[in-house]
Amino acid sequence: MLRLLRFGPRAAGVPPEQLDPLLAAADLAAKGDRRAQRTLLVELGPSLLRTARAILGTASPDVEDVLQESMAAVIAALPGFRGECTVRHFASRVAVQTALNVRRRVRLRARYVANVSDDELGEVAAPDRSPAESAEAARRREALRELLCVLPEIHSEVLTLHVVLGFTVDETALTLSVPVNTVRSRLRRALASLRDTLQERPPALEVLQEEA
Amino acid sequence: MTRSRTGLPIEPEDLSARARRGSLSEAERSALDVALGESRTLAVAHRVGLDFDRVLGVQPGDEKLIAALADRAIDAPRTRAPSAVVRRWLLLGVAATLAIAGSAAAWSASTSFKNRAVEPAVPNFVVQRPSATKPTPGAARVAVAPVGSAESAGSAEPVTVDLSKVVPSNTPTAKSASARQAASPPEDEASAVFSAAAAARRASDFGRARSLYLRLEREFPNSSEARLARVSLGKVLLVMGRAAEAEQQFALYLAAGGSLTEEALLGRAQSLARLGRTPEEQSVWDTLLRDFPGSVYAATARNRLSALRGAQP
Repeated sequence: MLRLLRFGPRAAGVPPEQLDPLLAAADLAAKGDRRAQRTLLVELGPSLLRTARAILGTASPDVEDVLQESMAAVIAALPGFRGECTVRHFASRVAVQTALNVRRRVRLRARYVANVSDDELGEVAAPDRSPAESAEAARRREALRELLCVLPEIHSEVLTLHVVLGFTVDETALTLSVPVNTVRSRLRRALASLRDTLQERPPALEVLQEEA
Repeated sequence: MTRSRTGLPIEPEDLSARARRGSLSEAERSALDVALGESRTLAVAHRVGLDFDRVLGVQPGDEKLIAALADRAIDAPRTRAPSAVVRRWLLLGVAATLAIAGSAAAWSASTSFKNRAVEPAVPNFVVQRPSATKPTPGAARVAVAPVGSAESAGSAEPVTVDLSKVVPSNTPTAKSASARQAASPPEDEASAVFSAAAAARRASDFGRARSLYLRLEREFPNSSEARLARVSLGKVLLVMGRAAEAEQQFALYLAAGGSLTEEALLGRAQSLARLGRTPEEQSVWDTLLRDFPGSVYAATARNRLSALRGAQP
């Protein structure tokens, strides 16, 4: 019965499993079924890995640790999952929080250790973009990652879920259990900070032109 | 139906999200283009989102990595979302800490007042400023009435004070310290030390990580964290260039067995390589390939073995 109530108005007449195919596995996993836990983690793994890479950088040595921590955290948090969003969105939020914590922890180290992530290197080789465009894209990604350490956590979460992971505003609101307008308001502030940050850091190409 | 700023039933932010998923109609695409032209903030967000999409695709080997880490995550000791029992212990711990802090504050207040009250016991002081020798009567009654009473305050006789009698009964004592220890169960403490060590390792503070892992092994030898710590400590020691000690840690873990056997084999082989113990190193790589043919480290093992065999005369 509780499961039928989980998705609220969205569940009208639709079995929860059809709204979220991972719900059945999540229920079993929450009760300690190890096979269900494994199935769920393997299903959710790509989303968790994507989140860890997005926040830490694809070449960060902490990605694997964060993935494992996120997996353990998802299993530990499942009993408290109330089905207000999909299991995948719930897990992504757990991964966002885990990765943001680690990102903030290692921020000082990242400041002093040159950290060229392989996504930048991968982009240089992209056939449809010039090296300058790829470098500029890498700069924007890094600016956003830096911003995640500076913004209040509620803004960082919204920014990561919506801009980095591509959640819609509705999905973000359900994942965070806050009203849609709250998400919009947080997003406005976070995006204004992102815009300002990018304006403050001129593209490498412009710097070179100015110096010339 | 409420229509959005674009004239469509979808807000521009969501048009951007759906464009990234490749699920926009022609009309929606046009609406998005208009919105991107009108709002610089939206344009920045959309562009940065696309920047991330370009580098966050699935990479070769992800599937194996996820499967391996899923197993470990299920086996790993839990440090989050404490159970009801643990939460109760934590609450007790907080209560004990508050009680101790309260006692300490009361003790501090009473001893500072006691010092003021004892001042008349110093003859020189009494002679020079007799008016200052009277303690505040109200406070004296509360804290140190036996010492700073009206009779003793008025006299110039030295007053000897037995400190043990002045210290209030709620001062932190060995008994309350042991109560605090009891409020924090050993498994929680082991888990906390393990987390602190892992955080130190991630922050590249290897000296601290090493001492915390060693403390875990020393103080909680039977905990699951101490067993796992052998592999983590081995890795730390390897980074610190202490290959012999690292090899010992990995060997200890392998002797007991566990879910990190693959990592322990990898670490032991790397330690032996550093130590130049090639035949043993080969044997460990062979074991890794035999026992875990699908391991994420299998390629590393094969490459190393072929290099070693190629180098042999």
